[in-house]
Amino acid sequence: MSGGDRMQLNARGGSAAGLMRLAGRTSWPYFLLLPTVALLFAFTLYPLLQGLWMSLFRRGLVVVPQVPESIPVFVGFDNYLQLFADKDFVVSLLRTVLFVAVAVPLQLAAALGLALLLAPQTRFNAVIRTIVFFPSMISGLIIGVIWAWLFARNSGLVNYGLSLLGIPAVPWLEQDQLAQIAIVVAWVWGGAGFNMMILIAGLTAIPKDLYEAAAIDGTSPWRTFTRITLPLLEPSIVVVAVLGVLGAFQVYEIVVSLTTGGPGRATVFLVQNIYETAFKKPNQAGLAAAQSGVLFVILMVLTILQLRVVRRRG
Amino acid sequence: MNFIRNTAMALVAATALATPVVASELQLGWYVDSDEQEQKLRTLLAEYTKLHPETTFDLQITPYDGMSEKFRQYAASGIMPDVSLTSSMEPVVRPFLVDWAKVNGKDWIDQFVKGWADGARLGDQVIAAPLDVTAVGIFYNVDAFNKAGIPLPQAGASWDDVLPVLKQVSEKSGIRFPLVWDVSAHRYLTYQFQYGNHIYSEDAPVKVAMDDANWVKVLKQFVKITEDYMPPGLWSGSSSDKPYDMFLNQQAVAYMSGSWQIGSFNDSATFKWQAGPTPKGTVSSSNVGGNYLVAFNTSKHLDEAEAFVTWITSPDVQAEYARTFGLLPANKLAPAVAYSSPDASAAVKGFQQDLENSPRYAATDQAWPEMQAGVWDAVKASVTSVVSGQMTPEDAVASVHKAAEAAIAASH
Amino acid sequence: MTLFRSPGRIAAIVVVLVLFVLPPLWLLLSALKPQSEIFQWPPSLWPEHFTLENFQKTISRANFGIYFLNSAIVSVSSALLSVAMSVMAGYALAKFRFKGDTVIFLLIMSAVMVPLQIVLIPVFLVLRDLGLLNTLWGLIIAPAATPTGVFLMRQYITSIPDNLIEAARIEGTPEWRILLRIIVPLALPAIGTLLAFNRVWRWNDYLWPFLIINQQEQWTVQLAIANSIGRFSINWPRLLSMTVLSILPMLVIFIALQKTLMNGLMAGATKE
Repeated sequence: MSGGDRMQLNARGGSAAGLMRLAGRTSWPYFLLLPTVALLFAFTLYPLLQGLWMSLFRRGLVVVPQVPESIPVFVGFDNYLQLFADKDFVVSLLRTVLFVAVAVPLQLAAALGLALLLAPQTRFNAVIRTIVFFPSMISGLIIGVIWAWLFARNSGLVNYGLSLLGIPAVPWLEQDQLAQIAIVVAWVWGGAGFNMMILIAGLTAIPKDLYEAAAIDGTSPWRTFTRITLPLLEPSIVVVAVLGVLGAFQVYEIVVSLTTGGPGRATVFLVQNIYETAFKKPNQAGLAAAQSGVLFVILMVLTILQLRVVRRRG
Repeated sequence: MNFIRNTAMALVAATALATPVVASELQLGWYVDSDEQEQKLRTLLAEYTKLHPETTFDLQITPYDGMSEKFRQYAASGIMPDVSLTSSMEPVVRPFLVDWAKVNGKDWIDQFVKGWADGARLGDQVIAAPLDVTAVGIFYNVDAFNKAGIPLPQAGASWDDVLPVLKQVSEKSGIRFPLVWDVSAHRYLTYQFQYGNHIYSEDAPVKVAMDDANWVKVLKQFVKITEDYMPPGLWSGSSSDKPYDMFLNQQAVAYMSGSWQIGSFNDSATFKWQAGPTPKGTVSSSNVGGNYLVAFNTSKHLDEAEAFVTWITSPDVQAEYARTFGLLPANKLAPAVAYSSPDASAAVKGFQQDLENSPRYAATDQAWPEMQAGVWDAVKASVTSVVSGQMTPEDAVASVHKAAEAAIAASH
Repeated sequence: MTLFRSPGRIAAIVVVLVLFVLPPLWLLLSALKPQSEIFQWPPSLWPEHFTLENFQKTISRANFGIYFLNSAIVSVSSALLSVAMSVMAGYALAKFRFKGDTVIFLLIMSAVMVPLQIVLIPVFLVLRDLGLLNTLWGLIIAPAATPTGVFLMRQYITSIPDNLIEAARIEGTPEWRILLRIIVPLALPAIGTLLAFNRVWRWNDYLWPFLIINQQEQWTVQLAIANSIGRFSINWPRLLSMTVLSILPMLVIFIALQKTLMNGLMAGATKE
């Protein structure tokens, strides 16, 4: 029976069933999304909404009726207005923006390089890929610990190596700019394997015959790269970029074990500032929530922008 | 069909809810520093069960850093254990704490080391039972002194006397650094105490009692010490040098830490060590610390919980507790403790003396609940900011002053 | 497709090896050193006295096997659940145009735009109200919805040709069959990758176990590792040896999945 006949049969015979199937198809995407949205709502979005609500009050983290000081006091948008006069917040925000601007492109470039290097399906490459993926298997805390050891001024491997070359110990973690560089290095290193895998998955989706055709045409490797590889790799690059921005803006664990925000307060980024405001200062949970609100808005805007750019080109 | 479903749901509910309740199983929240500590604790608890067979224990171990978050969860959810170890009492959890003055009488608290006991008071109430105390003090690597042929510092020596000696010892014995110091606000504050500075008034009503000019002078002295005698950058706030490991690995001649190290030095040190005498500034001062036990008044086994805490803080049991864990007993009436080694016993005695001889403000500063509201962090940040060149000493001390004021404002 | 040919390629590989082999090597070798050697000066990579005592001590800990078992159960179950949900959601977002599709997508992504720490209390209360406290189920379900996973699947499934799906629809294939028989096989490389990632993420979770679990019998490896960070000092031998041990299963899974990956990718390569 040909496809056309089949279709007519379906449309005619049992239009109720046909309608239901049509309705089924229309509601199918909602059904597919239901588990994800339900779980996210329960465990993340609903608490986040409560967090945003918190930002309209002056309060501590916990409200206990028997403790009068813990009762929230409504302050409207005061917390938000206060933010831009708050030196700690502004400094940590700018510092974070700088970090994102440097670290994310660096990580994209590194991941791309690694992916191109290790994409061919050889056993040797599989071994190297596993090695490169290693940092992504360990928590940010341990990554920070490892690099803290490598960069330690008095007992670290990097300075020990330098001392063998006669270079005096470099205070990697104890000088403002050097500490920031150390964090960028550790962060890029930590995410390289993860992003490399994403790009490799994307690379393999590119049809081989395109490359064959280019080779037959005698196209230079560079042109092949820019005209074929990069454009077709775009969905994966977008993933790396979007996730990278989201992750870099919220960098925290690595910093805690690498520098604890030091030297002094030179590497206190946005999230650490939020936590300190919430946990260390009395009754400032509302302010911390406002800071989180600002972070949320920034990330939402950036994500939308990045996706828009893609959509326009695609 | 229904029967199976109901049974299944009941099973799910049973496993989803709390573990089955045995007659008087007390839930204990606790933090430990090592597996050995946990084992010793379990042994101690088993001992209690032998004496009181109807009380068993469900030990819930939490990392120390997570304790304050746990307390917030208790306060917010109403779900809390029966007893918990803690080093401070969060404001939001105070309404749920058993008042020991009601349970054991209002004089009961007086048998404990005064500085630490004061921290358990809240107005007329006593909201915690002191379990053990710690004292800040210095440790010396005796082998290094012997190798350098220099005698150890004597009681009553000042920092000006001792520091150059440490440098000589380090040069002559080939040990890398003269001095390492725990990078903690608590240990730094001790140095300020030794020059007459403190944060809060000794008596109620609580007020900020900082002499800013003197604070700045002492801070500058301290920063100079970190530059001249300690590993470079130790107090920069991001150093990955670990004073404890450095002292244990014989990379430092002296280590400013506290009495809680006695146990681990006893076990792990491969050299002869001595605790104190701690150098003094214009006055001799240590700094008190330690642990409390709190009982929650939401407990379903309140009587057993109170009985347990009263037992473990009683003089004889305190002596045993102190000996087992290498800590100082909080109960002054505890009989003299014979620790596992003469070094340890001498060390403990020395620390207890130091605590006794400390000025009153060394105890009262910490006892004020306002200290918990961000003041510790401001103190530590003041030093690291100056060491790393981000703040002038004047600004740093001003920021501590500001934080201390903010803490008072927040709770009144 | 290789952009670099040897000797440039060889040089690049050497640099990569140094950067990525040295740190894990340090981790492993430090775990094989006795405590006194770990931070000695001058620092050495190679242990002077090889010792297995750190591993012995860690393994002989009363509940060590249980921690591993808990972590394994939780991470595998949660990964499977999560990947299933991500495939479904990613497919919906990639191949359907429906009312509110952008909003829902942004809603899902918004879940990773704010750090959760300051709303730990509301999250805790949700867990309590749903009866998930003190259960391994809580650890499996609560973090199962991963926006990153949804995003990954969406991007990958976008590249699956539409005509395959259209043809199946014209033939009257039910939607769920399209999903299982067409989409899933074609998305296998991404699914395999996502399984590996999820396994790792759940294994390294600290937040959820901290909130949900109180009993030591239900501890995961991460809780046990966190307990190596004591009040006054860090138990390095325990921290290092446990970290090394906890990486081994992930390594094994990753290598196994790489094989599936390779087969899946090979199939994809020869398909077109």
